[in-house]
Amino acid sequence: MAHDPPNNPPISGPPQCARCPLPSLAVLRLHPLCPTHITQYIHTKTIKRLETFRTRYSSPNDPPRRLLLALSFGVSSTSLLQILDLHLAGQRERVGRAGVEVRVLWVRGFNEGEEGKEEGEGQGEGRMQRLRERHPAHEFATLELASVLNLVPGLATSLLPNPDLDASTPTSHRLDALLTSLPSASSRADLKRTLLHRLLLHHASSTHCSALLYGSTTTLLAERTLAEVASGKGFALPQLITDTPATTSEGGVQILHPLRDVLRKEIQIYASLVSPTLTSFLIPEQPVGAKAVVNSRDATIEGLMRGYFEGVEEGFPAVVSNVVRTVGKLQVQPKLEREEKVADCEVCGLDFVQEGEVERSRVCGGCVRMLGHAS
Amino acid sequence: MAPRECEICQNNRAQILRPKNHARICAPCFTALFEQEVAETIESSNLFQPGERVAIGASGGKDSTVLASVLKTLNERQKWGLDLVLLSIDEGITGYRDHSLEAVKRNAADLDLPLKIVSYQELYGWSMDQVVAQIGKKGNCTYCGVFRRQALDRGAAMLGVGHVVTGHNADDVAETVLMNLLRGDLPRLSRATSIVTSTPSAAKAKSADGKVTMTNVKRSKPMIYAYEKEIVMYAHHKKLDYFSTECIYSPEAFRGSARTLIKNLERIRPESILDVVKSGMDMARLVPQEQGAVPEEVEMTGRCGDAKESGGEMAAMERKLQQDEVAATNGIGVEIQLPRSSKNDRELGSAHAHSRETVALKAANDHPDGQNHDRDQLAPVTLPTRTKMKQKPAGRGAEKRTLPPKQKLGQCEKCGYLSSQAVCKACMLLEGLNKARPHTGIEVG
Repeated sequence: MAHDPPNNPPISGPPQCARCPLPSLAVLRLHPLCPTHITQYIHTKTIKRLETFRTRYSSPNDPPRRLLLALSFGVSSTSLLQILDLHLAGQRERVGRAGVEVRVLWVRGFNEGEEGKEEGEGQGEGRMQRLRERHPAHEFATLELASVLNLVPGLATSLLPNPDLDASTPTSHRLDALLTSLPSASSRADLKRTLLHRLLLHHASSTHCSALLYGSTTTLLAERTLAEVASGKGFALPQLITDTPATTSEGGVQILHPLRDVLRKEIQIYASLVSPTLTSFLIPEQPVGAKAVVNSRDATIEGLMRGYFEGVEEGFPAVVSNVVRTVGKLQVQPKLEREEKVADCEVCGLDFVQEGEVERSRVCGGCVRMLGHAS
Repeated sequence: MAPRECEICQNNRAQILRPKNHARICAPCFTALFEQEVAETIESSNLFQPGERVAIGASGGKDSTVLASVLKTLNERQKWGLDLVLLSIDEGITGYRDHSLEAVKRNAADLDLPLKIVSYQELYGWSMDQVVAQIGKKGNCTYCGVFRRQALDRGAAMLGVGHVVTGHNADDVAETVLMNLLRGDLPRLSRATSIVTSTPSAAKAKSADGKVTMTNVKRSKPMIYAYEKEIVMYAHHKKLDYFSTECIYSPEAFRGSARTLIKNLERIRPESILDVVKSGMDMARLVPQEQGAVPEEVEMTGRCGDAKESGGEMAAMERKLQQDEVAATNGIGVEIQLPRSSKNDRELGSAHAHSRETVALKAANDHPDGQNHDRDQLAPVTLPTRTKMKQKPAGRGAEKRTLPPKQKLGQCEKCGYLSSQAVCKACMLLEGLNKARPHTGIEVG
């Protein structure tokens, strides 16, 4: 006896989109969706995270708030720019103005050098120029990663005990020397990320941006959660992974990850649907398999977690989201005991608990490990 | 390259490269240092009272064997005056526990320590072999884990001991930290990183016939900072006799996954094992109060699980999380009955968060719960709280929906064991087993 339900989709061809009669392109969270609805889904998930910046049309004279978008030319941050761009264009069309202003910042010297070959400077500039033409409504800026050593007060002194390299040495040389002095590829990757974050925050604050936007997806945040735990920075997970609340303090910058509810593979599908295509802007990603080799000298904790979560995302996407959600349940501040106080680490700038008599605890445990100051 | 000298004595040839600080040292310096470090952990956290009677949970495996040897040595050297005894659980698994118990017996003789073996057979009337014959290979780890928790407490009570030390090492704890992050289980994460965990006082709990008096059994992990590698090296250099086969069941999915990750991390940066432990301890301080307490809890630090189910646990959790996500997006919300009316002032918006949380805990508890082995004979096993149980003792559906906030510990009506429900989990499981028992034997028509 045949039990075929009525309206059974034809055996060949993709199932119908869950929201319209068109054929679906991919299955997102159990729902087959067509290209239009995939795009809509990603947009909704992203814009929802920016609730604090919803335009209040009641106060037309307020200057629009500024958001700083950290661009890496990876698929996530480039897609985030695309999403924001479309969202703001829609706003302008509907009410004549956009509620926020987006500034895009690319930091040179961060992504390059992963496999020893630097992306040519011209190439980066070329990408930047083409992206600027594509999104003329936004301001674009470029900074050197090494410049953070001069910009953030005190950072250079806590990082560079080497007296030969004083302030007269170009920052790029000082950064190179610093990176070479580190004990492992993991430490180098950690330091670059730490410096990048400090530079972005500094820039956001000094250009009066209310928030710093990262393109981190759920998958990336889950990877970073485990990587930070493995680097001794479990204490700072809420500061690193969770969106921070809006600050009212002068120069205070909110840190947001608008793609935090979107998986990496979902943003990849989204990016493939964007027209005109995004691919020419993206820095091609290395296959993860190569990064995950743990026996090589270049293996990093970050790369290990990347490879690990690639597998988890494939088979168990909800587990990936669960990791990030779990971090969201942690409090920012620990319960302090006597003789303990919270200070901000001179290297990473994160709040940590200074324990009693520990000498020179101006640097948190995670950074001590990163810098490899044994003893 | 010429052989290096030991960094400590500058005399012998260095044989050992320490993972935690890359020091190259010789074997005698290593064993001395290893002992000294365990002593420091014990002394800095005031684990023992002078003259205290302490049971060492002994499985015959490397960790508990090393722990027994180190404690015996230190007790004499540091003059702690401890009264040490070995406590073993015999689950009744032929081909596994019988051999490891032989190792424990040899150790007891070598170290000249008294040994108490408590068997499932005598406590419950069922050995694990019989349980497996009854319920099959799937899900039997739950039984084993639940029984083990009580068995240890009862064994401690029989010995008149209020403190059981276990062989959990840094690798185990790091693994548990990562595993519970993956599962979203903050209470367990917090518990795994505490050196001392204590069953809340159950001193007044006496069984009806007065057979067993429960005491407040304190558990501690003196080797929480010791690398598994170093434990193996210590056992090797001290020529300790241990049994190294794992339980006949394969690892549970989450733990297996976390274990591989820890081993890979160790290869990339050996220090990261201790960094994970430290991170876990720091994160425990960030766990909100209402999530923190899991009085009737298990430290999931064993390595057992059901071979047939490898991957099953993660898949089951995935399904539950997804269903919940669907429910959340559709705005249906899973029907969650918050256990207490006082919580009604919570915003509606948090209901979804609750539902997820419940599902996560449920998933975690559904089957892997009891799946710890060996050392975990030292780890009590527990189940999700069932606040509803009083009204609906048989409501399996209802019990799973509740959150585990503040548990009210009472005692089991049947055995007097401390339990947050009217009947403790072990008695519930036993009831099920016993009900089915006659059928297996007769089976005529």
